[in-house]
Amino acid sequence: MSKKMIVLKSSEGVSFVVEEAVARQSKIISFLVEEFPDRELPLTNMTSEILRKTIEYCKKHVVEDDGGGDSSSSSSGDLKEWDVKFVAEIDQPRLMDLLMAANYLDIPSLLDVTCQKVADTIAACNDEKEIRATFNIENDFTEEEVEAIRMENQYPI
Amino acid sequence: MGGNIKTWKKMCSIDLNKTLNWFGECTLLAIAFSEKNKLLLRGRGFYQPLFLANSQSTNGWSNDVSSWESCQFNQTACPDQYASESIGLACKYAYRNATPGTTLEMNISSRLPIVEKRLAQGGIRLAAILNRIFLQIQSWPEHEAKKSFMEKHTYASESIGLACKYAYRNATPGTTLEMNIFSRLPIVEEACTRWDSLPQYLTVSFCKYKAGRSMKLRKVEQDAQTQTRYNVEKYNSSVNTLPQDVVELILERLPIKSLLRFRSVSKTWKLTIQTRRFQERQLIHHSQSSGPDILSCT
Repeated sequence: MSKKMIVLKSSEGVSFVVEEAVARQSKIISFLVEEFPDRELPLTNMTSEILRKTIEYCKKHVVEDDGGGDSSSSSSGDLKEWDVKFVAEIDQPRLMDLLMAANYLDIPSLLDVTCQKVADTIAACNDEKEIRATFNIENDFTEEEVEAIRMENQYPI
Repeated sequence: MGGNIKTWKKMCSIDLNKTLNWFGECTLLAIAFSEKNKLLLRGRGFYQPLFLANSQSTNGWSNDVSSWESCQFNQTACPDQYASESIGLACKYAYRNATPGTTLEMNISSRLPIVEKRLAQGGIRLAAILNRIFLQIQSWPEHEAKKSFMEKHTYASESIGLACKYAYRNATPGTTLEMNIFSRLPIVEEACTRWDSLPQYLTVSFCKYKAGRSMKLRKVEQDAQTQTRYNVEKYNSSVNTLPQDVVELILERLPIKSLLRFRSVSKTWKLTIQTRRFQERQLIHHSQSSGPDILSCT
């Protein structure tokens, strides 16, 4: 039995052909497939690289989902490990893109792992300056305001 | 209006105490009238009086109610009118000055008056339509009545469905809506294609709107490379380009100590961390994953 395929198009115009079950992990694509069957879906806010990564994640998860059966407990552990490795291999800017893609496409599990990875990165920062540098955030506080917050934090928590 | 409500109440008195489901899966909009003509609108999970149809409303449209009820040429419904209003509002407010690549930002509070007015219009119109249908329905063969009713209202229900699913998904009062206009193009395109099959409604303004759209689409194709470059630039600036809800998703995964310490990163972070809603979400997240880690006890 042949599986239904869906064509996703990245911002560079590169087409990706994926199985419907893989793509359907995105709630948005799932809905779009129903609304516009047999059509190429343009994902103009996603580069080919990020789209490829997203599809890689979805492929892994769809295989684990329907191949699982009785071995689900062990495979879910493996899957978690795989997820951790998957995000660990991605550099910071790409991770942000992937997070945005997960958010946009509405893939809850991918959004969860990427958010967790970013949160871990933040938690590992030594001070706010490091966070601002890593995530390119502008400091809109005055020295006194920062000092005031630091003072508040002196109380035992 | 009052008379119509009475008729409607009489015709479907059984349904009044239940919710009225509107075309299936997305519990779109169910309507009930309380004793004092108070129109209650029920959307996903909320049930609150949004307006009083006959009160001396300060919204400035209480006098328009009777005009909303009527429909040209004695039609059961006039979706063309509703749709052109919708397009008008979209052009005037939601997508004003938007160009390809624009991230739309708006504070939902600023849109509330329009949303409320549209809901009110929807309620009045639905009631009026139901009246007309229930009055006509006796003389119609059942299947024909159903078909005609469905066709005319498919557009409206789709529109509400799309709004629930995309435009206002998970929005609560105070939320800043952000979306990339590109992501909405397939939907807009589809709607415009459908409009092509309704030539009698092609007004001058809509032609203009459509011309603008096809220019946009051409531009999309030509500027694919520019777009890529734009994306790269955009994403380089990381977290502050993340939508606020994503920033919250990230922050709620942090332990309390980090949160308190990193309030000093930026004003947005500080405000976010200090809001009650965030603190509740953080508590829920942590109690689900790793036991309590409480940010606020007040």
